[in-house]
Amino acid sequence: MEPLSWQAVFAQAGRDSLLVLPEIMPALFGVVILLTDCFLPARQKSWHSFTALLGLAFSGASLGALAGISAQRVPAFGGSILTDPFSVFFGWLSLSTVALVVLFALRYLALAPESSAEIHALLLFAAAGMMFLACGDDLVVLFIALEILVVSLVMLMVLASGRKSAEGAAKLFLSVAVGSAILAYGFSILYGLAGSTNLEAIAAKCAATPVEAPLAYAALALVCAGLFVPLAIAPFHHWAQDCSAAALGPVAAFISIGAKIAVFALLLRLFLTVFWPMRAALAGILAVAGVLSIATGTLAALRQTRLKRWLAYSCLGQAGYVLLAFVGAAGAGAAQTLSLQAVAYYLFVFAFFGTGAFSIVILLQRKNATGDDLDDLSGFARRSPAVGLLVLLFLLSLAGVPPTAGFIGVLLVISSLVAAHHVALAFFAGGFVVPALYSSLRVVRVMWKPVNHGESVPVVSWAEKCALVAAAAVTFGAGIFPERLLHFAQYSILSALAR
Amino acid sequence: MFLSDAQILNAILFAPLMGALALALLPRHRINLARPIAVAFSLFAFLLSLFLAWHFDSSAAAARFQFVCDHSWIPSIGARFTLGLDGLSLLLVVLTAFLGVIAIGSLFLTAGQGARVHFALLLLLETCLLGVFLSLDFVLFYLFWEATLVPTYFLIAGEGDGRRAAAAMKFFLYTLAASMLMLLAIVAIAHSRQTFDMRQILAHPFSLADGWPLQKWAFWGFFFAFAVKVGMFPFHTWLPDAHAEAPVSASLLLAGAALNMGVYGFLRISVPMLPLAASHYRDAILAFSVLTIIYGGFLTLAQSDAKRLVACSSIPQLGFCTLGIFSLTPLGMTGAAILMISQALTVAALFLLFAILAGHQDTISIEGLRGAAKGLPGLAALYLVFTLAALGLPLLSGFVGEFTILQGAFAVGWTWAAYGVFGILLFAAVLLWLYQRVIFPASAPASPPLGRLHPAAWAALLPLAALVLWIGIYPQPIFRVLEPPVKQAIAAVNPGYYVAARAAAPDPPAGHSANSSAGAPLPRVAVPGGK
Repeated sequence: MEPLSWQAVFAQAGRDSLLVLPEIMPALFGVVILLTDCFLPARQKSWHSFTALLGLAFSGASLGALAGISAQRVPAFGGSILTDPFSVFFGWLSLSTVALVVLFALRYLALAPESSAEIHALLLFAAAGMMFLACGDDLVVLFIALEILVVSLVMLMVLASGRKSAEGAAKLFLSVAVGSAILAYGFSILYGLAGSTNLEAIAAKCAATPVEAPLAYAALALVCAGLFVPLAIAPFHHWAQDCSAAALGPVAAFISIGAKIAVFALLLRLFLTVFWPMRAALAGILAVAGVLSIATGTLAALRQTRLKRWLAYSCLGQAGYVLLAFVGAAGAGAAQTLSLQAVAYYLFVFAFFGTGAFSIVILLQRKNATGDDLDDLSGFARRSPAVGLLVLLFLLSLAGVPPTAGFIGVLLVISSLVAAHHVALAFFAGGFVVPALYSSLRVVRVMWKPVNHGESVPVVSWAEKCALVAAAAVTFGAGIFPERLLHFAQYSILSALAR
Repeated sequence: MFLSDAQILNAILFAPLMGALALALLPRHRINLARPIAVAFSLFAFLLSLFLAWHFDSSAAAARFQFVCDHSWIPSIGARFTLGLDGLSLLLVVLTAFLGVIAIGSLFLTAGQGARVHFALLLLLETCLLGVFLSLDFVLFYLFWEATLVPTYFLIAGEGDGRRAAAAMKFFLYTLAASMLMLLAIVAIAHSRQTFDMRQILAHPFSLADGWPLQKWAFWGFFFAFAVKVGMFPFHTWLPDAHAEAPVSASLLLAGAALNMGVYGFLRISVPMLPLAASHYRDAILAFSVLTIIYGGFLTLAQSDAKRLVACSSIPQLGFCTLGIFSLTPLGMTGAAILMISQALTVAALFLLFAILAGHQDTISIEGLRGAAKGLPGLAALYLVFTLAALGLPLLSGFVGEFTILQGAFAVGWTWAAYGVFGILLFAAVLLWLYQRVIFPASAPASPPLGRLHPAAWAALLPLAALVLWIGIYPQPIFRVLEPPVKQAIAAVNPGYYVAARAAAPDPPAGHSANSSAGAPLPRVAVPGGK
C-alpha cells in the first residue's frame, strides 16, 4: 500500500470527522453544558435542558443529512466506524430516547438544581456512547462505546439520587464491570480467531472457514453473557430492579430502556455480522434467555407494590419479547425478514411506550414525596383525565393490547415465531400477554380509583406534556399505521445483513 | 347516492368513534351538549345501517360481499384494511347500530347527569363492535375484537368500587386469554395461506390437502375465543358477573351485541373456513351446547337478583345458537342467526325493563321487586311480550329461531333435539316464574304508587317490541339475506347436502321458511377421519 500524502490524510480525516458528527455533537454539547454551568445562576439551570435538547436536535439533523448518503455503507476511520441505515435507525432511536428522558428530568432538576449540569452532560455523553454502539464496526470502538454508556449510567445513579442510592450505584458498577470483563474475554477470543478487530474482517473469516471450532462457540457464549448483564436480561437481571428502585424516575427509565436499546443494537449488529454463521446457536441462547425473561419479568411484576420495581420488571418482560423476536432470524426466507423487522420495530416502539410508562413515577414526584408507591397513583387519572388516558395507552401497550404499538409488536413476534415453526415459543409469547395485562390492569385500577377531595391535581409541565404527547403519538400511530416504521426498520436492519 | 359504496362502510364504522372524540374534546362549560352529540352520532350510524339494509342486494346473483372497501394497510405483513358486508354481517350491523341508539337512550332513564364519559365509552364500544362485524381482514378483525375489551372494561369497572372492578378484571382477563389463542390460530392460518384476507379463505376453505393438525389446532384456537364470548358452559363464569355489574346501558349493548361476536365467529370462521374440523368435532360441540342450555337454565333459575337473572338468561339462549350452528344444517344455522338477534332484542328489553322497575323500586332483588309493575299496566304488557318472545311463543321472534334450530338438531339426532326441548321448557319455566313474581304479587306488599313511565322508556321499548313481533310474524327478509352465507357454509362443511335435498324433494327451497321446510330430508353429515 502506498503511503498517503499528508494532504490526503487530512482530507480523509476531515471527511471521516464529518461522518461521526452526529456522535460528536452530543458530547460537544455536554462539554458546553459543563462549561456554561458556572455562569448560570441557580434559578436558570433549566437552560441546561434547552442546551441538551439543542445538542440532540443538531445531532439528529446531522444524522438526517447522513441518511441520504448512508444508503450505501460508508466506512470511516479505517473501517472502525460504519455509517449505514442501521446506524441511522438506532442513532435516531437513541436520540429520541434521551430527548424524552431530558424532558422528563426537568421536574427533578427544579427540585435539585445543584447537579443539573452534570446530569445533562452525562445524559449527552451516554447518548454519544449509545450512538457509537450503533455505528461502531470494530470490537475496540464498540467496547469503549459500551463503557462510555455504562460509566455515564453509574455517574447518573450517584448524582441524581444522592447518598441514598450509593448502594444502587455500587451494585450497578460492580455488575456491569463483571459483564464488561466477560465481554472483553469474548472479544479477545474473536480477535484471536480472526486476527482483526474489525467486524467485517471477523465476519469474513468466520464465513470463509467452518466455525465448528469450540473457540468460536466459547466466544459466542462469553459475548452473550457479557451483553446480558448490561441488558439486564434473565438470569442476569437482578441488579436492574434494585438500581431502578434506587434511582430517580428519569434515570430509572434510562437504565431500563435507553441503555437496553443501545445494547440491543450492539447485539443485533454482532448477530448480523460476526455471529451470522453461528446464528442457530445464538438464536437458541436468545430463546432461552427470552423465555426466562418473559416469565420472570411478567410474573415478578404481578406482586410489586413499588412502581419503579414494577416498571423495571415489566421492561424485563418486554426485553424478553425482543429476544424471542431474534429467534426467527435463524430461519430462512420470510421468517428471517419478519423477525428482524420485529426486533427493530419492537425496540423502536418500546423506547417510546416504555419511557411513557415511566411517566407514572415521574409525574408523581413532588417536593417531599417520592411517589414510588402503587397507592400514590390512587385517583391519578381522575384528577387529570387527559394524562390518565395517555398513560393508559402506554400501559395497554406494555400488555400488548390493541390499538397500540405493543400489540403490533407482539403480533410480529408471534408471526415470526410461527413462520420459523417455533410454535411452542409462539404459544408461550401469546400466553404471557395475559399475566402482563393483569399486572397493567392492577395499575390502571388504582389510577381510576375515586378521588378523595382535597388532594391536589398533579401539575404537568409543558415539557412533560411534550414528552407524553410524543410518546403517545408513536405508541398509537405505530399501532394503527405501522407500515412506515416497519418499512424503515426492514430497510435499516437488512442493510447491515446485506453483503 | 351521497356516499360511494366504499365510503359508506367507513362512515358507519367511524361515526360513533367521531362522536366519542367529539365528546372527549367537548369543553367543560358545554357539557350539556353531551347528550345531543351522543344521540346524533349514534342515530346517524343507525340511519346509515338502515340505508345499507335498503340497498343491500340479496338476490342470488349478487356478490357475496357488498359495499367492499379495500385499502392497503400494512403491506409488510400482508394485512389490508378490508371492510365488507354480507347478509350475516348486515343483520349484525343493523342490530348493533340499533342497540347503540337504545343504549344511549337508556342513559336518559338511569343516569341523572350528562355522563359524558359514559356516552363516549358506549360510542367507542359501538365502533369496535361494528368493526368486528365489518372486517374482512383477520388482523383488522382481531384488532377490533380486542379493542372492544378496553371500553367494556371501563364501562363495567365504572367508578371502580370493589366488585365492579373485580368483575371487569375477570372479564378482561378471561376474554384476552381466549383471544390470544385465536391470535395464534389466525397467525397459523395466515402463515399457511399467505393471506389475512377472509374472502380468499372463505372461497377456498381448508381441506385435507392443507393438513389436518393445522386445522385441528386452529379450530380449537378459534373455538375457545368464541366459546368464551358466548359463555359456553365451562367458560361462562365471567358473564353473569360482567353483565350484572355493568350499568344497564352497557349491559344491553354487551348482552345484545358483544355476545353475538362469538356466534358471528362460529358462523363466519369456524364452520365455513375450517369445515373438516367443524364436522369432525360436531358432536363434542353439540354436547357442550346441550350442557350450556341445561346448565344455563338451572343457573338462571338459581339467581335471586333480577339483573343477574337476565344476564344469565343469555347463556342458555346462546347455547341454543351453537346447537343450531353445529347441527351443520341450513336450518340450524339460519335459526341460530335469527335466535341470536331475537336474544339480543329480548335481553336488551329485559335489562331495560328491570332498570326502569329498579329505578322506581330502588332494589333489584326479585323478592324486593314483588308487585313492582302493579301500577304500570303498559309496562307489564310489554314485559309479557318480551318474556313470551324469549321463551319461544309462536308469532314472536324466539319461536322462529328455536323452531328452526330444533329442526336442524333433529336432523342430526333426535336426542339432541330432545335435550333442546327440555332446555326450552326449563327456560320457559324460569322466565314465567320471574314474571309471576314481579307482576303478580302473592301477598302484595304495600309498594309505593308508581309514577308514569318516562317517554324515553316508551321510545326504547316500543321499537324493541315491534321488532320482536316483526321477526316473529314475517321473518322472510331475514331468511333471504341469510341464505347466501349459510348456503356457502353448508357447501363447505356438508357438500352433499343440497344435492341430497334436491334428489329427495323435487320442490326445492328447503330452509326458506319455518313451515315449508318442516319436511326437509335429513342431511347426512360426512365426518372425515381424524388423520
